[in-house]
Amino acid sequence: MTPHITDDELILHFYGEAPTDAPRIDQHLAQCVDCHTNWAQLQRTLQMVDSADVAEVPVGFERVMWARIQPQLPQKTARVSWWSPKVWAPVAGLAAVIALAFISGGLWQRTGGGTTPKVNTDVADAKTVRERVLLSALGDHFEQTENLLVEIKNAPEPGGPGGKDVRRVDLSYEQQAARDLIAAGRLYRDTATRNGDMELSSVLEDLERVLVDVAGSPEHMNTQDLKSLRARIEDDSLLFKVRALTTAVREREKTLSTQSAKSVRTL
Amino acid sequence: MTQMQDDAAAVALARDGHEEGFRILVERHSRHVFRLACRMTGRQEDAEDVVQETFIRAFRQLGRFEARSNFSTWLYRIAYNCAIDFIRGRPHRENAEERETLEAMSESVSTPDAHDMVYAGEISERVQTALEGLSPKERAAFLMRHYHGHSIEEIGASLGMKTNATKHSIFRAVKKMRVALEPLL
Repeated sequence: MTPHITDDELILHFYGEAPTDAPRIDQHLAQCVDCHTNWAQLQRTLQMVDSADVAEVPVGFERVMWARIQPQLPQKTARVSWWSPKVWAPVAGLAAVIALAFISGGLWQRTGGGTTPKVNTDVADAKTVRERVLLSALGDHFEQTENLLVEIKNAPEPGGPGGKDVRRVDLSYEQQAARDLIAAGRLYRDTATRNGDMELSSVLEDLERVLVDVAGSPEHMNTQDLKSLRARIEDDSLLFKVRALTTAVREREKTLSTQSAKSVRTL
Repeated sequence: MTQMQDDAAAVALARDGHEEGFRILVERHSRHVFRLACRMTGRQEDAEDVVQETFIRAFRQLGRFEARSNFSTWLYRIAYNCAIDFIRGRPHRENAEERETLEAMSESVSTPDAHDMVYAGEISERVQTALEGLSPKERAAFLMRHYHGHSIEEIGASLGMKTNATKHSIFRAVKKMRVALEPLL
């Protein structure tokens, strides 16, 4: 029989830190009762360590922590305007592409195409283009949120009559979508708040609460969980608010497009 | 989008000067950092201070974060180092007192068939006492290996320790755990 396995070797073996020695150790453990007992005790001990609880994380911990951290951050916050593409680019990378398309498209139209673009220094016009781009991004955000809420509202209820069937509905796809929307929505909300648009900010906050619930709910929901989530959506009239905002945003976008087309014709 | 891509996007935002990006990172990771800090410090109030300091340091060091790396791994490394500094900075508790507690624990009898809650509580208490009997670096090395699955090499690099010293920290920690938990086996 090979020499006994030391405690240290067993520890490395447990953590997979001695791959080259593993065959020798396994072979010895299969033959030696003493070492096998020692190995079993070590495994049990470290499984117990796994089961040791730590303090419960207090409710709302993240928000409290942010309130403590935020004032201490070095002030390097970019001071950019509401319509600056810089604000939106990280969450709506596509918006930048669309912006380029709009800008180049606008110039193309104005010049009749093909010829060297005329340099336009009209700030108001550039602002309109940016506004249209950003409205487009915001409109997309609301539409995606609306789709998500509708999917949850229409998801087939799990379980059969009398609660005997314990099947659960799989909402993992919706949860991932909710997580993506939360990050983008927070940025829109923050920007709206900074810009004094409290109505938009408030709706975005309502939406965020529900999206956080969706993202944090079990992947497979039972009937009760699903009903409770739907009740939240219905109680807050969220679908109505989102649809109203989508319409408003799309209308504004259309108005700007019309204005832009008129101004191109007058050039 | 994966969690790693989400983190990278939020880091990019924060680096660009937008606090919102950093807020996303705080909301996403502060719970995990809190649990880690609780294990390191053994006290909830201290853990909160460690979380706060970790994120402030992380914010200052964001420029050094490589986008291809895993943000949580990078953040935990900062958290462990913050916790080590924190423990070293707080009034020292007598080692002898900790030794006595551990010895007393190894002798005390507690039957595994006792009430589950009490049993679970006892495990946690014994683990925490064993951890407190280790130096801050030994504690960090063990927790990084055991709970976060970092390799000995990575731990050494994170804590500025040589491979042998890292291994010995882990050996010492596991031996303490064995003494502390032996009566419950």
